Amino acid sequence: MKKLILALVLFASLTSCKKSDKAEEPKKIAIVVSTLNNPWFVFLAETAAKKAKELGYESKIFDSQNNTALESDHFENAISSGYDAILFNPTDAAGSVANATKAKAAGIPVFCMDREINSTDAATSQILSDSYSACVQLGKLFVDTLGKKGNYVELLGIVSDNNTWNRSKGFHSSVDNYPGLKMVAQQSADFDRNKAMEVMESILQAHPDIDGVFCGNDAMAMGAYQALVAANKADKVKVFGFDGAEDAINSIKEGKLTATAMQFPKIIAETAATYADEYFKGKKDFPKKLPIAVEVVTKENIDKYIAYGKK
Amino acid sequence: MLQKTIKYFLILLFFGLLLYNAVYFKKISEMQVSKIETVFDAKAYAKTYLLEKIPAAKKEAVAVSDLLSAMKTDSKKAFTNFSHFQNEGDTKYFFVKGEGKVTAIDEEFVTLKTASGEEIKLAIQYIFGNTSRDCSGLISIDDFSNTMDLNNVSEEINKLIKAEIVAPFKAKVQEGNTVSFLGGIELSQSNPKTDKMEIVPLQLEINSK
Repeated sequence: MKKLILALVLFASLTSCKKSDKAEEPKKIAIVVSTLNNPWFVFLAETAAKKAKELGYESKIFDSQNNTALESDHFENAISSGYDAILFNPTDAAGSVANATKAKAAGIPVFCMDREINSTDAATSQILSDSYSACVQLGKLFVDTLGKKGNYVELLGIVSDNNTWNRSKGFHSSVDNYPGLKMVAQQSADFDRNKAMEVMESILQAHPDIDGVFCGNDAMAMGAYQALVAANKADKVKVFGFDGAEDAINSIKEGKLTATAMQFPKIIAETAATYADEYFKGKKDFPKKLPIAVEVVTKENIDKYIAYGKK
Repeated sequence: MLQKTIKYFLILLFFGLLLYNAVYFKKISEMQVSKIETVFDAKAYAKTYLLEKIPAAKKEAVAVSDLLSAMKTDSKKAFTNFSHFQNEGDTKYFFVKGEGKVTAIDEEFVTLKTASGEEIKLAIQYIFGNTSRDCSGLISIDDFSNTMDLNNVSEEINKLIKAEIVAPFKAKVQEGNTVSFLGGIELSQSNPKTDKMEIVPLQLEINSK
């Protein structure tokens, strides 16, 4: 009998010890990113990790490799390993809702970065680039640059990502007002540079006479530009990207790409980490969706910008 | 006997606690990972906004002459007092009202001269972007489950403006008419070019010839 009581007391004290140890440990933040195969997302993840460290938290970056199943595994790991918050760049607007919901059910706040999920309550807050508004402006510039007429190609990103369509729709909301501009091809290249090059090569065979290319991100713009160089058309065709990545900024300086739209991954990542910090300190009222402005970058204003932000 | 009772009670308590923490019940509907979203009707939303909410909010609009005057005096203050926006970027929107006499009509604009002498341009050809949606401050991003729905609202409002506001107006308007309007203006905070501003019409009325 005494042994049994002793065992129960021991069990109870061990449980309470574990709890108090946990309270003293620095909180841990998981940074789950759609892919680390794109420098923009590497910058986003590393900036979030740096900010988390500055705020006194441990963090670990998880690469979902654009795979929702792998992303789901990362969430399971983060939940079972006792992470206290998740800074999340989702792979799929609809498919990733389940993961954020799982974390929420486990009492772990989720802060989305750049890409959104189709839910207003699964994540504590979503810090998003205002892609649509930026592409309305890019579209206006595209119209002026091409002189309101010509043939053009559009390369889309991942079709299940809302950013893909927000960018495309913003662009078309401007460009489609001008009947002299004709879209001869619209294809997805999954936000990937190599795929964009292949897709562009194939499009150029069917449509050699084009005047402009609008790409849903800079990686695809760089891939499309490479294909145009190989086809000896780079001087004639105007290429537009989106992101503000390092190679795109350098290309605009060198007169290769015509324009991009500068997102501010530093602001997005730091805001997400700061929100997590505020959450730990008791704040619970966050904007459900916080759109971050995006700015059009051309050769005329390039001096104001560096890769991923302003000087 | 008493010892045995305590023993059984403690064993029961121990397993009871284990079981309590191991099993929980929830409704299946609560466990659904993603809600079944009803299809958002952007067209209907846009129609209510443009044809009901905007006219009802007329008193919230700033007189275009007052806005221009405020811009000349202190543009920063004018942005703080009158602008609306969805993000913290450079572009801001204004909900304006006014009246003027038609001095010119071309493919893209109807030019009005106000009583206080300002020349303003009403866009009648290219209506796009978020000015019509964001100028009034009546629409919040938090009202939408995703930004695609929010952006579709812009597109539907712009289509409605072209079809139901601008088209009948274009068919009737003539130089010399007096026109009153409710509209939206987009301005860059860092470089507000008020001399080049265009008003996206949200309500147009030809008062007299």
